[in-house]
Amino acid sequence: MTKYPTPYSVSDAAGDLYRSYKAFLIRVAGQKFCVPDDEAEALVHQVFISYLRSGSSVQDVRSWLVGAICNASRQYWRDHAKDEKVSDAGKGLYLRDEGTEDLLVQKLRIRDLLAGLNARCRQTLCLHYLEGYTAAEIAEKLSTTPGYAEKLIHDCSRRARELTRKAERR
Amino acid sequence: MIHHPTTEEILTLAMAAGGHNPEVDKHVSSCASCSTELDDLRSLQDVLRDPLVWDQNEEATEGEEVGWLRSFAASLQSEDEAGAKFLEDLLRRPESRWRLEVGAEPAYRTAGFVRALLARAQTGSDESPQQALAMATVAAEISEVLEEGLYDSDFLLELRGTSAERLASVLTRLGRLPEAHAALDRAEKIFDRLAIPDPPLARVWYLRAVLLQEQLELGRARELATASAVVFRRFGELRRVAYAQLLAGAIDFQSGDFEGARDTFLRLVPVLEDLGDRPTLAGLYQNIGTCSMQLDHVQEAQLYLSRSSDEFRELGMHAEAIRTSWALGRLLLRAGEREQAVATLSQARQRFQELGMRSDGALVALEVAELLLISGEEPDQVLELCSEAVRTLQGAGMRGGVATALQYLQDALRTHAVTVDAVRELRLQLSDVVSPPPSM
Repeated sequence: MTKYPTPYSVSDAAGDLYRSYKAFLIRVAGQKFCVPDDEAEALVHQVFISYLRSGSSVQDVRSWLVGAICNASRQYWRDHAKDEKVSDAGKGLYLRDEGTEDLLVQKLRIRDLLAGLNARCRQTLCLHYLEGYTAAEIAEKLSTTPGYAEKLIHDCSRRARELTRKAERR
Repeated sequence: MIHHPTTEEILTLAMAAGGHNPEVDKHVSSCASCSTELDDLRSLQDVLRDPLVWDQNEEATEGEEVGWLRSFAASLQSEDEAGAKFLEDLLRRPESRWRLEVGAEPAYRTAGFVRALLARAQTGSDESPQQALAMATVAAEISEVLEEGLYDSDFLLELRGTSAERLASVLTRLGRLPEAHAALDRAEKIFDRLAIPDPPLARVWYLRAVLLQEQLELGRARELATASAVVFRRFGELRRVAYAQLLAGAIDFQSGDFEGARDTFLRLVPVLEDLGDRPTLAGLYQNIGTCSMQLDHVQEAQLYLSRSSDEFRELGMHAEAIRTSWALGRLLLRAGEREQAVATLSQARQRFQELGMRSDGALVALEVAELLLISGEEPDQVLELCSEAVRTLQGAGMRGGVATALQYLQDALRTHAVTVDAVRELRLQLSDVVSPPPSM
């Protein structure tokens, strides 16, 4: 008997979305808004529940998720502003900072686009830009020559740029 | 011919690596497109230095963590399906008994049923605002008695706030504006307690702007429409952004800023095309045509009104299509194309009658009769058009000023002494009763 694949359901879509964006959103809450780790995770859960309720009105999912985690993080600090244990810096975090969301959405888009690069390219760019490795250090790590590592950094940066340009045109 | 450097050469410059060509450096600093490319490359490099873009390997694993969301989505869906069935069940009973039936039957007390009621109240508010009001009222009542333990607190708050919001929307449609404001106040208070309050609060601002527009508080209405558009954009709710901008344009039109309104509407054309929202697009064309009419851009007005009429017709929205043709007839008249105007209006009259929209047809008939009277043409047709309008309107049981004007015209018909003033008076009285052609 032919086995048919199970139809892709709403719960599958929710699961996929959660897997793809959970880590990014927790980092936004934690790094950009200094929300404590366990609270950040709870906020992300709230973001996904809220998204599921309003999903049909959302045309740009990334913007919605980023907007929601920023909103939830600011609301978190607004609610905790009277808490004496919270520092003054924390108390100021509920104020809106123009452009934060746009920048975060751009980063999320680029993060997703990087998935279109091959593993070697991703590793090279990550080592170079994030970890600050020089071409010589990358060469050692990848067991190749510094000249080839230099070329890799160059080529992979160009490919990343091509991907972003293609996405901008869409 | 200018030779721009290749991406490769600009990238070498961006990476500040040795060996880049000084000629390239010189060109880029004086060439706008190349320096933009250099800036873009540098900003990409900056982004690549942020740990946020490198979390590919930290995706949540399948299991308990994803399981809770999957099961939440599945229960939401099954509750919605059950809610839709409850709604069909309720719709088979008399509206006057709804509150009683729902109060007596605990099975109805589910979030899915509330959402089904709210969805139907929204889609049905044009056709049957009273029924939509009954649904929104029942939804609001159930949302108040849902068991707290069964649902997450934010989930309940959002449901209660949305019920108040929908109630406000229907009350606005019914012209019960103070009650609508009160319902919006309530929705705003509830939404403000949510963990993620901005999207629903922006919906409240949007509705408040609609209300204030009705009350001619145009400045405040404009501010709220713009503020809601900003939030919708931040959350990627692009259709709502377009609607809020459409509202802002309509407010500009009402304020007499026809040029500003036209610019806003024209900017929205590609947006609504991308969203594939054809009914709103048809309305947008109508708005552009109406602005162009006010600005005496006759050809442009004709183009957009025709486009709107065609689009409405293709969508099967025949009444809207005829209303647009009606506006087109008025435009032609304004442009001095009297003969074409009479033909277009006569066609609109006939189509209204075919659809059984007799009062609208009568109003157009009077408009044609007035035109013919002014030019002194076709006296027989004038009498025929006026008699037909009088018959229709008498059958519709008109009262007050319309009835008086109707009697006046009827007397004039009897003596074959129909005047422009008699026709115009009835037409003006009728304009308050029958929806006139679109002005916005």
